[in-house]
Amino acid sequence: MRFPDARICMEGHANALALSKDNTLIAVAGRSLLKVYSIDDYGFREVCNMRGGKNQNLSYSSNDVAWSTMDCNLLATAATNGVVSVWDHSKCGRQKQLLVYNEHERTAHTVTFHSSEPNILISGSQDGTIKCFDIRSDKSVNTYFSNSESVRDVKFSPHAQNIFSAVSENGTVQLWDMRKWDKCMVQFTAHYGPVYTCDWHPTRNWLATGSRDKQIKVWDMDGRPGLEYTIHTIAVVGRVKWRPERTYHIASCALVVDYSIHVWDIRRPYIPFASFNEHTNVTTGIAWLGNDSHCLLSTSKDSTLHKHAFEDATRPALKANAQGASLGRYGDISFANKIKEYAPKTSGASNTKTSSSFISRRKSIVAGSIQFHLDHSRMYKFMVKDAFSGFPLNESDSKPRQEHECFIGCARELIMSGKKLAELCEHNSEVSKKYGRHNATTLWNFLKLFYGSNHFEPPFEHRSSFSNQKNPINQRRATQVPSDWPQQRSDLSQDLNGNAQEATHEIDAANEDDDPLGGSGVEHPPTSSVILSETQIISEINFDNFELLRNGFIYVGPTDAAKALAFPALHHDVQAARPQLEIKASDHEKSPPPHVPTVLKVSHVPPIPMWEPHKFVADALMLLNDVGDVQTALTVIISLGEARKLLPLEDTLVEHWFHTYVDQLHRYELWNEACEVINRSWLRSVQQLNQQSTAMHTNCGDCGRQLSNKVGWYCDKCKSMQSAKCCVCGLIVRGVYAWCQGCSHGGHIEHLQKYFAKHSKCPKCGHLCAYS
Amino acid sequence: MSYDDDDYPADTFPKDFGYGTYNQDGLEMEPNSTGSSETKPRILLMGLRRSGKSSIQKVVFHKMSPNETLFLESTSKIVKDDINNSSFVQFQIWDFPGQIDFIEPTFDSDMIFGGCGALVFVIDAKDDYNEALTKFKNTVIKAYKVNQRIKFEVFIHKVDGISDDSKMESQRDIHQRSSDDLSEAGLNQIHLSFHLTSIYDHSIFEAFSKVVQKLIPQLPTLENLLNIFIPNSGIEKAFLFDVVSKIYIATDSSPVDMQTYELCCDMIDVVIDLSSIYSSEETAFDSGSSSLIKLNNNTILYLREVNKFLALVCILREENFNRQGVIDYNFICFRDAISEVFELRLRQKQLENNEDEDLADEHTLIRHGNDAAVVT
Repeated sequence: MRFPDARICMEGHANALALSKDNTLIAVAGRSLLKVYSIDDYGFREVCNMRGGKNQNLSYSSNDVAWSTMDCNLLATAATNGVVSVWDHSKCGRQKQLLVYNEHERTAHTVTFHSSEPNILISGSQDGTIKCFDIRSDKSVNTYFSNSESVRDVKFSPHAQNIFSAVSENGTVQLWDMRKWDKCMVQFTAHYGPVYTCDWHPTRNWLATGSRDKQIKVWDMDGRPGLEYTIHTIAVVGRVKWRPERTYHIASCALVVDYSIHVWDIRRPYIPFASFNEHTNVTTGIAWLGNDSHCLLSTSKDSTLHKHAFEDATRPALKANAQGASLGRYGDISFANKIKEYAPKTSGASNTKTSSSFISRRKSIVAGSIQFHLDHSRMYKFMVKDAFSGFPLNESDSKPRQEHECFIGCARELIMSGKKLAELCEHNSEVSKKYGRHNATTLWNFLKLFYGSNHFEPPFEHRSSFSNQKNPINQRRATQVPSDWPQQRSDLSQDLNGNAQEATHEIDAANEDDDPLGGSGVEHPPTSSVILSETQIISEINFDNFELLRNGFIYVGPTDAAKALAFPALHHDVQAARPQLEIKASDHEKSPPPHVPTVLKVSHVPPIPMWEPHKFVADALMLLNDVGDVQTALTVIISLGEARKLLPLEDTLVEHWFHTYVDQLHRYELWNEACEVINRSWLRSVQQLNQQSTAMHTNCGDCGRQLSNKVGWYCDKCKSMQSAKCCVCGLIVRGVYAWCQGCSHGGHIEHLQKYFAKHSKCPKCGHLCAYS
Repeated sequence: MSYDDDDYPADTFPKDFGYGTYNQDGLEMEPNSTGSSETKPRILLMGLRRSGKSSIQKVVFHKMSPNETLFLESTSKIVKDDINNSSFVQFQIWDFPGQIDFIEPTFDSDMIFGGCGALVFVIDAKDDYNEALTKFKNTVIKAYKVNQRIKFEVFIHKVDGISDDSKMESQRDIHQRSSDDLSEAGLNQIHLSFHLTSIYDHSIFEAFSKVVQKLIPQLPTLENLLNIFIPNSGIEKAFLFDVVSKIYIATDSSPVDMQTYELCCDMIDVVIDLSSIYSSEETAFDSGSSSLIKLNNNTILYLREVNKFLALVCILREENFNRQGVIDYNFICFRDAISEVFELRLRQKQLENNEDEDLADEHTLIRHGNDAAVVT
């Protein structure tokens, strides 16, 4: 029979609810509420309001309520002022309150009746005591001192007559024998926060506890308590209740944040089996309707009493995404999915799959019906064959390399400082070429040209016009113009009269550098080809040319294609530029002989459009980053040193690159390289990465346990100074102690030097120490 | 009905409010100060060196930022700190240097443990705690001989650095071993409390709150007052705060949620900081202080001053705040009730001073709360 959902509004917040023995009456208690409702198929009906009348005192403000296990008229409440009262709802008026025990000094949190002896009830209080009352007397029978700040919940064990459990705010669970009031039987720490609730399993000897540390734990109470299951919830656990007739199901509600009631299968603790989301405020009390596992009652601070039918519960597992995929660092992919029963087994393997390791987590137990906690899942792992490179196309001319190999190689071999920028660029372009990164190679060469000679001085080709004029006067005049050259850097069109001597030197150096490269037949930065062809004449390179050059070299795609495409375009460009240049050249020739001082046509030169490479370099770096090569982008920035300030790049972006690159290096376990990058950083947030953990742990060489920091060489575990001795000579080391981080053995550094000159393994344990 | 701060006897509150002045005397005290300090319960902070005692003291009572505690020098003398900022919390904190040796005969253990209310022993959870446990055992035995009424509190400290599982493991282990140690020494009756603490979150404040609460004989009364006040005003949760240290003197009986507590702590900071900007007088917090913060989840934080050193911070839902008049009236009743508790205690104090100085009288509990008139 299906129960419809039912709901009734009450006045005032409810703190707890309890069901009578025959499951027909519900008592709801709150701070300003104490009522009894009857429950039937159609809903709730108010039977009795115990808070009626004018004379209200604090004993009516209840934290907890419990029904007598024998008498359908008797119930007990625990009040916030510490009073435990017993009520008879069949009586009228003030006589309803049968007994008042005013014994707890502080708030009483919980009260419960004994399961088989109808006259016995126990209560737990904030004052740290548990009191046992017999309703035939008006005083407590026993007091149990829990030695904690506050007892939050007490429950009688259904498996043993006199045993009850008490949980308290200091995270401990205690088991008491009712007859022994002086000392608890068992005590153990269950949570690292206050424990707010506990519930005994109806059939097994299990105790579930819920705590402020957001966990529900299930303890096996046979013998020494052992942790069986742990459920991590999202909020502080307020109440837990085992589901009848289902061994592994438990309902829980939260004290804050989460308003819904969850039913968990403890064997699948990651996702609730079912959830009820009807309440609009924190749920404070839950109960299963007797032995009916399909009907749940709940009260909440939203002042409602709900009856939930299990059919109407939401099943969070159905909405969860049952697939997961992850990328490995060597380009392999793992993919896990849930498999439906009887679904044809399709292998999702693509043609790149070389080995798919099939891992079925569980064997099927019940054929046909899918059980919540026994969902099948399957995991595939796709690995990239060695024969395949990171790019799908086969390059016959270059050695096939996988992307990660390139990355690791580049990370190891690229240098970021220590040499002149020109040398750095040259070295790095070689490295990039070796690993097939032609785009990067081009960029490095380009950088060398533009920044290589002087960080602060972008070389300009047009100055070669000056260099050809061997005229001292002009030179002098030229040097007079720029009073402060670095300052005028920004205003480039003005300072074309830069000191010619330097310019000469620069362009010569550039040409010399270029020659071997150009001759080696490497795909070459188009810039130099232009310069080479025009060394002796004024090379007037305008924006259009460079726009094209740039487009050429940052072309992203198959490297070969890049090369192929870049050159024709350039060629065309050079052709196009030539006529103009020739005119200039002829102009030049027609002009009076060079020795005449007036030859220099300074007036002609100023309108030459100046070109700043910074913007384009920055663009190139951005593009590199966009296509996934943050490595080169960042290395370039670091290598540029101070010149990087010229690049119009935002600090946040660079910071992001740093973090990305360091992350990547860490994934490939390139710790040293990552460290170097961090050290080279000029950004505070990146530099701090190295300062997060500075702790260094030392292990004892004998037992392998961590040495305490008190006395550096004395091991507490094996009570010896063994680890202070040199493992070559056996004497105690004074001064520098060198040791292997792998096996924790070491000694005098000079002894080790001698030893490892001949051997490769540790003198003590045979560990393959990497002595360097 | 109007409330006037002058109702309190003026000498209830020490004039030297504020934490700037704490005397860094050594052990030797002037004879005349001995008498006054003995009337205050004392909290001793002990533990091995570098376990974080001074950091705790600085963070909780001197508003030091946790990061700054890195640079604290290790304590070489006993630092006595008078926390007599409110008439409820009148005690001293003695911060002991870690290397102090109580077995030495030069140490006047009667003097140290005699007027001691609680002994807080700090254990560094990240360190090996064998040595700490041995020292703890010796200290407890020594202290218990002198004064059987000392409350022993163990702070398992620096837990921010360890995982949740090992937190529980170390608590369990320390609990087990220290209890075993004590029962070996035949001191089964000693009750130890354990707290997992860290100065980087509010756990240290909560732990200290619990320590202090145990030293307040009126705590059940205060709790009762709060328990009456709350349901009648439609408030979800209320804390009675010691304003300067942000430890809570009392709260109602519903479970303390850490986030709620942190919110309330932060609110006090906000109120004090703001009012010190705009107040003309020196004291940023006085009888007129009150504040209201609306949160975006339909919750309201409401702060009212109770007396110069105590503030009531409540959390309630927005719809319950439309009856602010009732809440304010109830609050005035609540405040009056607290002031009556004060007066009773004062009278009791005077009696004590007249007759004899038996400290045991402090234990007399004043059941007072039920008189409070509360309007629903």
